[in-house]
Amino acid sequence: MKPTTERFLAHTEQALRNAELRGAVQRATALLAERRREAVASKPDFEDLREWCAAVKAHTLDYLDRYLAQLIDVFEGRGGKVHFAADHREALSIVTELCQSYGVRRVVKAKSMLSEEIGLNEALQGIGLEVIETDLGEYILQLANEVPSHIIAPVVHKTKEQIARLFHDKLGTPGDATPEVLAARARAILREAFLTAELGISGVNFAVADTGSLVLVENEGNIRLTTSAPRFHVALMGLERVIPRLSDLPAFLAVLTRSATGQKITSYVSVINGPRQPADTDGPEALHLVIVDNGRSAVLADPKLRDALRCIRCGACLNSCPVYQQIGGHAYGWVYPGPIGAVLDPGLLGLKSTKLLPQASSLCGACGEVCPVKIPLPELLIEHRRRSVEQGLAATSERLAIGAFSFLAQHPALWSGSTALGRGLSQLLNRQGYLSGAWLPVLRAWLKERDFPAPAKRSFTQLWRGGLRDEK
Amino acid sequence: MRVALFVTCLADQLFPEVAVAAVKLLRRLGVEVTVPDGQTCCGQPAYNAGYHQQAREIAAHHLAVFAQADYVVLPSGSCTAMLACHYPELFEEPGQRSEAGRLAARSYELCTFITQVLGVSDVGADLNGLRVTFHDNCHALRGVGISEAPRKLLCAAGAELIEAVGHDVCCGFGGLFSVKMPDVSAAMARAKLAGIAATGATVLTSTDAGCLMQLQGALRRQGGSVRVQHVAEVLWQGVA
Amino acid sequence: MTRSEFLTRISSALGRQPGQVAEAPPPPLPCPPEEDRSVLMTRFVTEHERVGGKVYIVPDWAAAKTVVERLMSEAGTSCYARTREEFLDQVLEGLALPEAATAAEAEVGVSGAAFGLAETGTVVLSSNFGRLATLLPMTHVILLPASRLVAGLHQVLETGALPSAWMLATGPSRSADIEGALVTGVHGPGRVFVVLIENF
Repeated sequence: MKPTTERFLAHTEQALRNAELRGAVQRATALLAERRREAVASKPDFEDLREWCAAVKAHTLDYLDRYLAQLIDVFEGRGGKVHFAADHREALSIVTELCQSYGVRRVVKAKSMLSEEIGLNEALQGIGLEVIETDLGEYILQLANEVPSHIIAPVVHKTKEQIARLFHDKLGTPGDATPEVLAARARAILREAFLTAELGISGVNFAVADTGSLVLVENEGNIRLTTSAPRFHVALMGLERVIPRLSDLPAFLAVLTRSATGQKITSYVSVINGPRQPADTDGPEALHLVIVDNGRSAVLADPKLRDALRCIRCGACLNSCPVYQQIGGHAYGWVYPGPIGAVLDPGLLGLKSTKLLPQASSLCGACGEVCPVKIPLPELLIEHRRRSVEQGLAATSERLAIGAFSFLAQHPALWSGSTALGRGLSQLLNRQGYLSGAWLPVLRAWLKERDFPAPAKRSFTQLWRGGLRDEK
Repeated sequence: MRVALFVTCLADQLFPEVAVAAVKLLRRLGVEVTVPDGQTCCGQPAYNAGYHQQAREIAAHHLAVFAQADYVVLPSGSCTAMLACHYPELFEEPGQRSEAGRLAARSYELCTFITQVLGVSDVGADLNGLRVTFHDNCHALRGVGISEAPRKLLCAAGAELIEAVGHDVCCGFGGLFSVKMPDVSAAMARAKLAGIAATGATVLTSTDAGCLMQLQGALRRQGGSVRVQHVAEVLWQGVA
Repeated sequence: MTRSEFLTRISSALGRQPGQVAEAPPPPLPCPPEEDRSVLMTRFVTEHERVGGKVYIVPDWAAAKTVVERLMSEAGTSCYARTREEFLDQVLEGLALPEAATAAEAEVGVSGAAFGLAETGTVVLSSNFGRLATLLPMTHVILLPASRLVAGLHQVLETGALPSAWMLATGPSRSADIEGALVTGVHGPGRVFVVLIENF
């Protein structure tokens, strides 16, 4: 997916004017956050699990080469084939070659953010394949020709009325169709796709090193169908999605599903160990695993940023982020929105084109609190800001202002003098205790939608020296 | 007992009545208050914006300013978090790092100081059933773990505390964020105000003047009758 | 990229020194304790029904057969699909309804389960016996001997040879993608019934 992260401010403005979008996003994230809260509250050892999962993920990343080697060996030992993609171009080339060699004409897809990242659908459609998204939310997006706006709930930005209108326009369902009717229609259409597609493409939630298993979670059943009905299955995974042992899985599932949707477990969890075995009556003949780098090894090499690769894509940080709740996911301009997007996108795409994303935060810390693998998201946002300054990416005006502020803050006499001057001048703008001055820089930004109090005539320090110090 | 007040730049320049109330409350509880010369700003704006060299220099300045204090008390949860959570990690030099650690260990937000160090919940205020709702500053809550202390003081003073939905959600101030992303910031403030209005409280209070300035500013612009006041002032008014 | 190039890139990123000793991973968390069958049964029923499934507890295979017949007639189906566990034969033999030619044609799918997880009300299905019969029909009936109930997923993962896939199914297929409205039977079965055979 082509990043538009540089237009973040313009996207944000657009999002703020879209009341329908904001209403839908706020309702969806509030619901998911509430469900998460309830699920966590009803699991007394959740904090312990979280602590442990964070430690296991950190360890796995530190030894990722070994665990990947183990995964590959065991996986291939059971008949799977592994491919290695340095970047999105290689990944696309691998998948398109497989499609061509198998004579694939129709592909069914389960939801995969990685496939969005590499632009898979467009590439396959470009060589004349029909690609059908099967996750209900992704299917809706495909009809609307849009991209997902949330990591796990792709179509949070649409209301049910908008979706009903879309189905009416594209599929001829009644204009006031209920969600049940819409879902039933999608089921029928997609059922036909599952049974006629030659190839199913999925992502991977967890790749288990000691058993070579690929674990996928879902509620709809489209992943099970995508990975069972077609003759061939291609699974795409980022190189960081490894856990060491199958026995680690219960803990990771427990924190993932509770954090994502507040469920103890999703309706379906697939633990795929290989292609069909000789005695099986169904299942794919061939199973291909494409392990993708696409910038992740650079993030791995970055000692501070490496922690961001622990992400298990639960979306809890999005749901807890008051900024995401105001602007939705598309504003962030790339595949991963919200706090994890603001941390990961600069790592994968470079800070220069994404520098606005880490600024889009009041550093409230809600994201860090809910991350099931304890990624220090707020600290990493500050780290990106620090690097922005270091790399000279900050606006000159800001640099000068902070430089001046910092100088004054170390020189108390100058600080007193200049603040006194500022307070004095501001009295010229004082209207009943609040400042006018919407023509002034910085103040203008505040005054657009809020009043700003006039500074005190006498500072506390003046009051202190003027008598408060000596009172009893 | 002697404490050094770190006034904070916001209180010093815009809301001196907050620091005055803090001094008066502490004195009433038998504490001698000093205000060491040379204090300016804790450096949080520079730190949050990624200017860590500048933040370090400002922090070093304040290590010296507060070197002699037994306790440092701040009428601000976020400034307390700056001292407690970030000052130590700003320094690489071990001597400075441990000095910052010692400063962190003896720095307290005002309400926390009263309840934890003085061991007092009843400051002698009578709020007479005043309907109050409390906003949790993000750094106070998540950085330093402040949420019980101010509520305890308010309830012991006879306030009727009504929790707002989203009392722990960010108000949108975030220091420079409020002017770097002003539209999102203001939208966040309005979202908070809806929850606050629904409580029917007479007073909105918090440990942090920055948050209150943000919420008050949005409230006045959109129209609303909730009185917005720092917890030090609310308590002191109940005493006086 | 080749395997070797790919892994070398990662090793370099990690700054690993050759011969550097590897740390062991954090030790596994303790397994939840084994429990009494009656405790497991109660918990399984509660959890499975909490997510919209239904459990029928029967004493033996004959009683199981009666329930299965009734469920098929309530579903109004003209044929059924099945997986290949041998123990299903005794439940399905002599049924009036024919077996479907393909799972896609059937309204009801009948399967066994390798395990039942009490903690979450989950049935563990093994691909060894067939996948599509548990997936395509709108109604899924699962025959689960109570002896196969375990406390949680840990116990399953410790067993021996792996099938090509374990599929853990917990209640009906669901989605809330359309503005949070819960819809069941989106792709997988919309109605799930577990027949728990107490004495086997």
